[in-house]
Amino acid sequence: MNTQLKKGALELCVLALLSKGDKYGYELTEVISKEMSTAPGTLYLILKRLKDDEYVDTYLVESDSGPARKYYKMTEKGFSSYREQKEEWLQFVKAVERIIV
Amino acid sequence: MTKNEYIKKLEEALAACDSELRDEILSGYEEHFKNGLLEGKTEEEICTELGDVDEFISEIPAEYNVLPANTTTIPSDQSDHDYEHEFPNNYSTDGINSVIIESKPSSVSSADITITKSNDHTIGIDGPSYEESGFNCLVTFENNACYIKITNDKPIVTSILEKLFKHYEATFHISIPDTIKNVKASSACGDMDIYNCNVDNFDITLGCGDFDINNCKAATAVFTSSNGDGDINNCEFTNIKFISSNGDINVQNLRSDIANFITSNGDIDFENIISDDLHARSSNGDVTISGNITKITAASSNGDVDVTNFIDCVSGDIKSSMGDVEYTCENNNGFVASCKTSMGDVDVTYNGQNIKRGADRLYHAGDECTKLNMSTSMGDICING
Repeated sequence: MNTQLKKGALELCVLALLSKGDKYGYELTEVISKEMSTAPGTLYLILKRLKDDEYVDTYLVESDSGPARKYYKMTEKGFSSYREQKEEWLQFVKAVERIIV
Repeated sequence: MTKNEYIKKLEEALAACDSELRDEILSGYEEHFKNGLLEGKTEEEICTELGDVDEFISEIPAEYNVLPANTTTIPSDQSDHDYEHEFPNNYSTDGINSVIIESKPSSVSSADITITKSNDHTIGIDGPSYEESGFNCLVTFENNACYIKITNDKPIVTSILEKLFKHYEATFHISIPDTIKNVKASSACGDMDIYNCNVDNFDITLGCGDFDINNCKAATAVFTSSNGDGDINNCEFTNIKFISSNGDINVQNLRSDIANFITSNGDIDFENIISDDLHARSSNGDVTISGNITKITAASSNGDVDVTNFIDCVSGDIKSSMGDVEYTCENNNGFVASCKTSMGDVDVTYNGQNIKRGADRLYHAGDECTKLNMSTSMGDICING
């Protein structure tokens, strides 16, 4: 699959998962890697970009085992971008489906 | 690979990376190992799952690499779209001695940058409008430096969809006068062309893109590219360092006291280079060099190394593991050479005469002006005097 398309889709997936509740990095990678083959590193890069763009915020939560976990939380800006991107994506997928099915 | 080996490799590869990102990645990977082992997987299996470190590192955009300490950070943006979009535009250079360019397009858009000499005393910038391209270009001045920051804030999905249907590439033209002493640029994605510039220092880093450098002069020049080719023509750099991870390096007519060229996966091709001290190394490509070089170190792991020198050199180290190595002296007052190969042949001639190995295991010819050290494991060695 085209890597750029995949990256865009991944970003949308990360936003979608975070829109349903705060998660920490490993949790996100687990959910996504069950559905598609992705190196976890790629997801951390996407998270970093989303944070730089202020689509997500982070906070630390102490963990019983090992170091504190960094949780990601969607911002207002993230939500509105997510809604826009999701709409665009769905329209795109429908258009492709109409052509290829 | 064991967990420790994997984490160590990752740590080393991330050494230059933004510390927050590095910690995040490392603790995430640690967690993968911990949970994977609990699920009964072997360390080996988890390493495979996590993927190749080098491949991952090549994905990291250049802007997450920590810039050297002497850079000041770019002042933060004001509001969302409070940028200057009116091009072309000229900026006064009063009290300005550095130009610092940072291009950080989204991961699916790319911006090419062309730097040329300005015809007047101003810094000129030209580029596409925001409406047309989605690119912002912010210009600010601080601490004797002009900062030019190029970004693209379109959501990634929008950019992809646009890209699928129309191929739009943004190019920014930046012209700088000779009064500018330092040019520093980092670009995450896009080509960089530099023409006719005369400065003290170049420091340019590309995440993904080709270099094309023509008719330029600088005391110190550092060019780094993760994925891209480099072309250098008619330039004079007292001290140059060029590092590419995946790309060919082509150089024609370069004068440089100290020159360092390194690529992992590409060929190195030099024509007419004049240098006191030249280092050229490729891991997987061929290295071909011709010029007037006093001291040379040329090496490849898997490719051939071929050097033609028009002057006698003080010392030449020509090495390969899997390929052939060859040294040709055009103006030749003789040499003394050590030639080591495990599997290949050695062929040494001087003025048409075959030279036999001496009792000291070295090859002696003429006045022995040039000291040569030639070696390869699998290939042949050839010296033409």
